[in-house]
Amino acid sequence: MTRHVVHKSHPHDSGPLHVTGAAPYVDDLPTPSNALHACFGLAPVGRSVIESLDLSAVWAAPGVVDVIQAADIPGENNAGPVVHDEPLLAEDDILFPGQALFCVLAETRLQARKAARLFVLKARELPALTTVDEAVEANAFLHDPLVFQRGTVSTAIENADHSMASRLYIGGQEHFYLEGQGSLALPSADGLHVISSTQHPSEIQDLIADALNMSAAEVTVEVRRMGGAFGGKETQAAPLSVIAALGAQRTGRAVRFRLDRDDDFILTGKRHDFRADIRVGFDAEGMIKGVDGLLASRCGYGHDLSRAINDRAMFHADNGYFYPELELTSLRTRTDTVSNTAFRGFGGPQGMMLAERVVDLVAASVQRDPLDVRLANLYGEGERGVTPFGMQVEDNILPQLMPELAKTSDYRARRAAIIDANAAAGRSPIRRGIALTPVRFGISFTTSFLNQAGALINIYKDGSVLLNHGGTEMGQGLFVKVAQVTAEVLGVALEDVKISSTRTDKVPNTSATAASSGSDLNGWAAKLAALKLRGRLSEFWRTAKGIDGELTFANRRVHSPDGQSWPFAEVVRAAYLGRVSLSATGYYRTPKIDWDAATGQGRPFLYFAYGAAVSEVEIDTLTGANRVVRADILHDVGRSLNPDIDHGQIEGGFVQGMGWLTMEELVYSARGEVLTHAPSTYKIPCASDRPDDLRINLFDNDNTEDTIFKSKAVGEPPLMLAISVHSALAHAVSSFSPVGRWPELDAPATAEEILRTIAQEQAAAS
Amino acid sequence: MSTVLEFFLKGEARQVAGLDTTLTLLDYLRDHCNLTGTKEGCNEGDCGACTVLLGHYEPLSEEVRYRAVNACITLLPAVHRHWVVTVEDLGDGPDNLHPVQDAMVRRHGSQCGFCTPGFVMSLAALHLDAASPDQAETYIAGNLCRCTGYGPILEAAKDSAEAPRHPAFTAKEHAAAQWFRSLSLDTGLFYEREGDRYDAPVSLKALLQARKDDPDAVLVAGTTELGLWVNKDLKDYPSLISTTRVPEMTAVTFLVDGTLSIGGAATYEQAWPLLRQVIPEGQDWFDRFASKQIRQQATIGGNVVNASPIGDGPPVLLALNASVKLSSISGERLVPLTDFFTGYKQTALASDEVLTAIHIPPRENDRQFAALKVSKRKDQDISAVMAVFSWRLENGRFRDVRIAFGGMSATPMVAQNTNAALEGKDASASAVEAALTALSEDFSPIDDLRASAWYRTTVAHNLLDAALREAIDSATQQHEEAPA
Repeated sequence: MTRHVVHKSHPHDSGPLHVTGAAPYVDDLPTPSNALHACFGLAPVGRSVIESLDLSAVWAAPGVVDVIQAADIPGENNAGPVVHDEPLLAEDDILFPGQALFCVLAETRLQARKAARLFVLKARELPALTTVDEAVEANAFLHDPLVFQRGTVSTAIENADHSMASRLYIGGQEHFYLEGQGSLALPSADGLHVISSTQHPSEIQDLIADALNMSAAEVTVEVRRMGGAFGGKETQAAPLSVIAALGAQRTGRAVRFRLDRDDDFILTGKRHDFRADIRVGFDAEGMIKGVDGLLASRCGYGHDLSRAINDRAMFHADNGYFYPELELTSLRTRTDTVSNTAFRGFGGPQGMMLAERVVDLVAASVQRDPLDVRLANLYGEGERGVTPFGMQVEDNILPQLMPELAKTSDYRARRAAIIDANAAAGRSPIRRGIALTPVRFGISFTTSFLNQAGALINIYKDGSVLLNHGGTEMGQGLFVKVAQVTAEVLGVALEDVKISSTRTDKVPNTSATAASSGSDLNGWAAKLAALKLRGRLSEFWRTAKGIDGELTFANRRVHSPDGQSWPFAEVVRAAYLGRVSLSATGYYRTPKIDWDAATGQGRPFLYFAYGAAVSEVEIDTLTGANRVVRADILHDVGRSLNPDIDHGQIEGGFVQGMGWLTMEELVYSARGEVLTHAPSTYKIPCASDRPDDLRINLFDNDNTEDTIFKSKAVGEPPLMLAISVHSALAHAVSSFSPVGRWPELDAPATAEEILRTIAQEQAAAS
Repeated sequence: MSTVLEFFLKGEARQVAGLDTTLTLLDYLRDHCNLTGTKEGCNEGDCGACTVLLGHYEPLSEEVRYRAVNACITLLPAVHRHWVVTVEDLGDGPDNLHPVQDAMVRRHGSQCGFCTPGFVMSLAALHLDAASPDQAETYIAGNLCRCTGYGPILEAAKDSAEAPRHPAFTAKEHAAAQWFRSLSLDTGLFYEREGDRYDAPVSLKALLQARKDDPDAVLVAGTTELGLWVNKDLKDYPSLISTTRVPEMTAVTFLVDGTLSIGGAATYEQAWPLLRQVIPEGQDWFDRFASKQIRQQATIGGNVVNASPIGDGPPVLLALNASVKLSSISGERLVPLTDFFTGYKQTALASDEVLTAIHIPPRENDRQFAALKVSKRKDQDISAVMAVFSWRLENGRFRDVRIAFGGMSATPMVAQNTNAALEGKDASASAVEAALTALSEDFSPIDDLRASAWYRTTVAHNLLDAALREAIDSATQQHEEAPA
């Protein structure tokens, strides 16, 4: 079928506004001249009992209008989305270093920031658990472990020809969205209007209503765009939005609340850091017989989304590989640190790290090219196609995709050359490494009820179209994609579809824009709304004109089967005069999914998105400095809605994943404070860290499921392509390893970590 | 002397008085002018979202020249007599884009769009400098993007490199040039608000007098450090004296004896063209010093007087045997840099003195030099270790060895024992061994969030080992090649 708008590249709808600085973010919006500015006072200690908190100097500071404490919250003092265990403001205890104790409202932002530091706190500090290891040792868990089991793994490993064991520490990651958390609360006679930089307006609406003892209908939350989010604005935007709303309610004045970058680092959750323990049994060819794996994560002091995140780590602890027998255990540790949260991949990347370590261990042991071990252990048909959670893999394209990439990237020859060069390196400090790793990422919210979405489309009398849906724009290009879908169905030009901000008073009860699901869910919802409108217009016009057969809508015209056509706007105008409703909602829920958390079995995903990457790296063994020389990516987005936008998601996700696995290091103090709380100390990749040679291609195929125009989700999966970089670095280090050994390179593989691992391998070799 | 700030913004001359002396340019643009295209990402000069251009007039060439700076750590009084160019100035709105903006849209250089104005300004600087797009990575090293992976932005730099200037921008530049020409002679700035002052004299004498009269005043130049204390520690500075308007302070020249004299307020970018003549091997060190925005604000003198143990400048200057000229109204003295650092963030600078110049003696023809930076990220990062190796090889022997390190002790420091261990020794394996042993006596570094003591020690040894072996190899080669 000819498509006119989808499957084609269109630039981001806000591009011209972005480049001229004319695209407003929350903090750019004009505000009433009497708007107040908010600032939290942060606990300067870790887990403690508060003995006294003297705020008299805060109250007395210039410009201070109000100071809000927990007791001032009329409703529930909670920001926890699932379990209500994350107070907006501290009550009797301090639960983690940097927790918000109170909030100042002042005439200027500087006055609020200065006043917020004038408190006098007396607190009795308690012993704190701050690391995964400490928490595991102390049996401190947020909830019960999840276990996937098949067969008897200990027997399988014992009976296998060979076995290997390894421990892998995987660091967390700060989102470092360029736009920090921000919110603006505007009071009115009708309730509250809160503009927030959030991925989840409906949840903020609910939390505000609960905290302020209002009904949800009295609270409208709006977001036009975010300056990046990456999961960090799914739940983490709530505290300041709720407190800003409360401030507006208390004072009757608008409240602007924007976190300073350092406060943002300290107060908001990050990607969970993990420890993975691995035992694997395999045969002489490298066929896996059994995997015994432990995934223990640092959740922090509260639940947030940790249950689902750790579930997803488990769903991906096999990546693309079949483990005939297995026991996978997930421990969710409670620590006295900031509550960790969603971050692009949502636990999946950490799970995949375990899987890729498994195959690297096996390959090193049997001395085969790791690619061959990877290919041999991929999911297959029938029994070999069943995941640890009992889902049959029906759409596996890795057996085609990986060899294609190996060929186009010239993987085999390059690997051989690298091994030779390393062997002949002599006194040269440079070593190289290469790895090809796959990605198989499950698409759907694993919390099944979240897989629903709504859209609202209005057609106006002039034929222009206003699109609204529950998804939020954080840079990923969701709005342009959903507008493409709408334009395609209505047969109008993309520029005829006006995109408007996400508002809880237009489309209610939305799910977070998360889990890569934005275009899958909202694209379908918009399509259903557009189909309704097209159906009404068709019916009206066929009757009016006495046409038999189907009308088609394309190129801003309505076409009859006999070749006549009329401008879309003319048909719309006539339909209005004919008293046809030109406004419709669309509602979509994902079919087929069915996951039972209690039994650990079911089909949590509608489909999988696939991809693979080959990365070649170079390390300097004097300093551990490293760089990616070349990366080749072949990624599956089904039938792309917008190839250039998808390309951008792949490239950006890959580089963000590289950052996570190579240089982004969160350092904590003994009492659990984040010490790297600014870009001066926390280093995300910059332009020169991009691979010198980066080649990205889309795998040519349709989604086998009935997704929106046969496309696939693209937000998260490409991040995990960067695991190839980590594996390639380990390969480079392994040039120092004794035969049959694979280096225990942790993540992030900083220069120091690489040097440490080289020393370890040299010691093992001597 | 002007008591009012004068600058050019949005196509018109502005005069400002009565605002805080430490108000940043970013807050002024956003909060006072509603120019919200310039973004705050980190408020510490590390992300580049607030990048703007400062234009100044070169009377000789009759041209406006631009430098990209971070508005978040630039104090408003520092833009006195400049044209402040923001992202709103480049083209003529979203429907009539500047070539750089147009290329950014077409190449999908923006996703979330928040860092985008900063990138656009850095690329505009590249475009205005008519620099090669190969330089794009250097121009945008101070801009962080979390969405794109940078490829599309680098492509946009290439696409727009050859494009002509946008007519709307040319018209604004013309207006700005007219304004520059209309300015009267700069007689200095004395800007006050409710007793707080920002004093920017134009003569050295006035600067030294001001320093003597107000020993509690804080001397500022690029404020790349002070900006952090203002933004993050929320410190008040009742009295600031700016050194940057004094011509002698920014002069960079070779003296008649070949000594390179770098004015105390010369920025890294101002100093580099001549400093590069002394240490062409330092290009990588220079390129990796902070970012272009910072190098165009930060001064080498500031890097010396703040005496940070992790500044990248001082180890290089120590290895070059530099001295600092300390001047007061009653005289001046030349102090070897080795004697200048007296402790952690402590120096020999007296309360009435100003560091007016850094003197680098002429380099011997046979001096070898290497400045090696080790950091978590290649660009725009603070060093875990800064190693600088410098020596001569005379008849196969090490002479005038000057090895210095940053990040290894409480101050930037020469490796005294190591230097002594090598001095006069034959370039041989035993010299290497002696040097490495001595290095362990010189330093006991600490663990911090950038690196462990183990890492610092290991890297310092590895780099010294490799550098010495390379020197020995080349000496041996020379010896073998020499006619019998």
